[in-house]
Formats: sequence, C-alpha cells, structure tokens
Amino acid sequence: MADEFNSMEDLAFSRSFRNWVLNKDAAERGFWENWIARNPDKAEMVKYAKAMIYALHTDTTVLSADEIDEEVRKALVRLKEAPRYIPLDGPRGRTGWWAGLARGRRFWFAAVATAALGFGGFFIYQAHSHRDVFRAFLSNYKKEAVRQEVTDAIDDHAFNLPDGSLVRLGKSGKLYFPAEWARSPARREVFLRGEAYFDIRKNLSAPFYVYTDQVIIKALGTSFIIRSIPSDSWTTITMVTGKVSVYRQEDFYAHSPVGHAPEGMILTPNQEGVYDQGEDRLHRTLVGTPEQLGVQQDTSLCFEARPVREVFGRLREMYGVPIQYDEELAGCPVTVTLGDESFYDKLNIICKAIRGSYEVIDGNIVVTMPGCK
Amino acid sequence: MSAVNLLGEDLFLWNEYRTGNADAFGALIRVHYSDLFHYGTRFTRDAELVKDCLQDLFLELWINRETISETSFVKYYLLKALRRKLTRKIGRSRYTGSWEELHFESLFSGSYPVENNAIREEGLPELTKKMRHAVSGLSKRQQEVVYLRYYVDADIEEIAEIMSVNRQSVYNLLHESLKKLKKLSGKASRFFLFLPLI
Repeated sequence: MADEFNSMEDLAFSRSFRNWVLNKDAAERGFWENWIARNPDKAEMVKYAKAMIYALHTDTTVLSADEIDEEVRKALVRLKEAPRYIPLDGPRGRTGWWAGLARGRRFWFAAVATAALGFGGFFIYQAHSHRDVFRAFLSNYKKEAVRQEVTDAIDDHAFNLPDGSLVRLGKSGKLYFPAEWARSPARREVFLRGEAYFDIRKNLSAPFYVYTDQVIIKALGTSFIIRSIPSDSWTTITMVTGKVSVYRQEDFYAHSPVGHAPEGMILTPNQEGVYDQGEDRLHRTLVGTPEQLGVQQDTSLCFEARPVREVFGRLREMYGVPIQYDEELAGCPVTVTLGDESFYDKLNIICKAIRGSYEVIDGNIVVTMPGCK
Repeated sequence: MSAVNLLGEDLFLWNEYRTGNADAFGALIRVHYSDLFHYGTRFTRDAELVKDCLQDLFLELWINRETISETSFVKYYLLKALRRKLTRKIGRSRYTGSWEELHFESLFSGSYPVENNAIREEGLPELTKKMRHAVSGLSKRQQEVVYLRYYVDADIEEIAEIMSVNRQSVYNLLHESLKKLKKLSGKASRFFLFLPLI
C-alpha cells in the first residue's frame, strides 16, 4: 500500500492524504504519521505534496447550506410543475420508426450500390459515409485561390464575405472560402471548422452553403450559429432568423434526380439541429430558452375570452416556433395575460388557462387540451 | 469538496430518481449541488447564470428520467451535462455581443488561499505561494484538468468524458501540468538548501 505513493501527485491526489493534511485530526492521522516515519526518504516529496494541497485548496463553501437548500427546493417545485414531454435532446433520445427508416434507407442504399458495382460499390459506399468534406470542398476550387480566415484562441473575429454576408468567427476557428466570388455565382460556398455566427445576405438565385466536417447547411437569407468543433462528435445549428436546411453528408452527396433537392432537415427560428456523428442522425429540438424574434417594445398581452387560435398564433409570431393543437378546439375562448415571461413560462400560463399540457416534439410544440372549458 | 465517496448511495438515488421518485432526485441534487456550482463558477463569474443552468439541467434530467441510462458515475455525468449546458448557454448569448467561449477561468475564486496556522507551522508559506503561482501559470485547459483531478477526484477517463476530449489529450495536459509544478519544486528545493548559507 505504502509503496503506491511514489510521487508528489500520488500524495496530493490521494483523498486520504488530503483529508489528513487539511484536517490533522482526521481518522487517517495514524496511518499517515506512521507512513511518514517509515519513509524518511520521502520527506521532501511530502513537503511539496502538502504545498500543492495548500495552494490548490481554496474555500469551496461559496454557497451556504441555506442557499443550496433554496436551490434544491426551487428545482423540486419546478419539476412538479413540469409537463411531461417527449425528450429529443439526448443522444439516446428516440428510437422508433424514424430511426428504423433511417437505418432502412441506408441499408437500401448499400444494397443497391453493392448489387450494381460488386465489391467496388461497397467501398464507394464506405467512402461515401465518411467523406472528407474538406477535400471535396477544395476540389471545387482547384483553379481559384481559396482564402482562409483563422482566429486564435483569444479573440473572435467578425468580417464580411465578398457577397456582403457577415461572419463572426469564434475563437480557434477556421473559415475557408474562394477569394474571388463571381458577380452572379450559382452558389456561395464556405467551409467551417469551429464555431461561427452567420448573417447571410439574401440572394435567392445563389444559395449559401456552409460545409463542415459532419454536415452541410444550406441557407438563403438568414442568420444562425454553427458549432462544429473538430474534437466534438456532434455539430449543432442554432437558428436566429430565417430558415436553413441541414444535410447529412450521405444525403447531400447522394445522386438525387435532376431538379430534386437532397433530403435535409429544415430549421426555423429558435430551433436547433443536432447532428450526432455516432448515430449519423439529425435531431431537431428547441433551443433551451427560445427568444423573441426581432425587437419587441411592448411584450405584455391581454387576451379576454379570445379564441385559442389567436393566442397561439401570437405566440408563434413572437417566437417563430411552430405550435400544433387540435383544430377542432381552435375556437375555444381563453382569458390570459402575458408579460415578459420566458417562452416556456408563457406556454405554462396558457396551458394552465386551458387545462392542457404541451410536449416538445421534433422542434414543435404540441398542445393537448381536454376540450373547451 | 464532498469528502465521502458516495458511489453506492449515489447509484441508489439515481435509480430511484429514474423511476420517478422526486424525493430521491432532491436528495441527489442536494448531495452534488455544491460541487456542480463550484465547477460551473470556474467558467463564469456570473453565479446566477450557473444557478439558472443548474435549474434547467435538473428540470431536463427530471423530464428525461425514463430515457436516462443507469450510470454508476452520477457525479461525472452531472458535471459533463453542466459543462455542455454552460457551453450552449454562453454560446447562445454570443451573437448579441462579443464571444465568450467556454473557458475555464481559473482554479481559484480570486481569493488567496487561507494562510492558516498549519501552513506556517510547517514552514510552508513560501513554497505554497510559489506553488500557487505556478498553478496560475498553467494554461486554462491544464487548470481544468488539475481541477477535475484534484477537486472532483475524476480519473483520466472520467475527465476525458466530462470535457469531451480524448484520453490522450487529458493525459498530456495532466502530465505537462505536473511537470511544471515539479520543475518549480526542484528550483524551490535548491532555494531552500541555499537559504541557511546566506
């Protein structure tokens, strides 16, 4: 046992040693006093380990027991009020027909490729599902110069692309794009590694593509945040305004019939797309705290026996989040006053008034209500 | 620092929580709140933001209880979830103003370590100060690794899991940090040896 402590860190990272150093009356006292007596050659090591502990040890009781109790109480109150909804956020969120379909599609694709091309086809398929998007991106610009914007670990950097779109590139980020953009390009393309906010200038005839190592995003005129850190096994796309489509590599590079756009996932404001590399799947959910679109001067709203349709319509207008409910009950009257609460608090208030509940499903709010009161 | 290893109790509470026992969930978050809060405030000085994040995290955990897997490392699971949440939260407010990437700010809350009697009695104030200086000189990531190793008792694999990086980089970060701290101890010991001669 004693032989296990052969370095400063062995001691400093030992819970028992630490307890004894910080509290000389600890139960470990006998053991450590003994150990030190038996290991006089390690006296120096003990000294540095102690210094390390003293150095690292700061007062960790930054919150009082009362404050913690208060936070726990708050959490318990909140969870009792929480409606049940289907989780989609976690990486192991949902398995069902959707996942089954995705698996089926992939199998189908592999089967056709293999049948058509024999073993060669299989390798093409393999290469396909782990495509080097960066290389594919660069190969489109063999003749043109490709510009590179790089940020260091300290500062972010905002700049305009040749088409006037704004990019704010986060720390340790890289953005590649052709140095010269044609006057009327067929498409605008950039490649991103890291995190960036994009505010794309509207140009309906030249869609804007952001390539990342994991997914491809297509936008028209819109703003969003992409987080694609090379060491992460996921990529997130957070919508601010407008609409984008997100594609898995396999779908993006699959040969679709002429005139058919590849199959992607559409994201609208306050939705977040998460690509999970492990599962090769795209999930859609809502951002943690949906924010109001644009600037709102006066957010207080009073509804006096107004139809449910109107209340949800207004909420949807404010946050851009799709809200679904039973059309037959759309005319039910509801009386409710909304202030500057968060999106979910507003929803809770409305649901209380209509004695209903809501779920977040695939980036949508789905409201269930028992019927007109 | 919660001094006792609560693995067994943790697992029990975790499993109870997953079956919908709110009291067990309350007990679980009570046990870990202090550590989670402390870790969270290493990334931002905004204590309220950390509290909000934790509230959101608890709510999500509760809502998702049926799909959450059994884990014997409840604490690391929570730390990882908090880290991810903070990343998103801090990232979210980003487009309004300047960027604030999730960076481990500092091991220390700002206050200097308690220079208590024990340090003085053992003749360690000088060395402690140097050690502290050396720790402050570590990179943010190195500090985070040392923090998780020291305060949270996480091993390499657990740290890699919490920080979502691979084990090799955690190993390197920790190794480099300790090398720096030891370099100091080498110098310091020479310093101490010469002291009586002067």
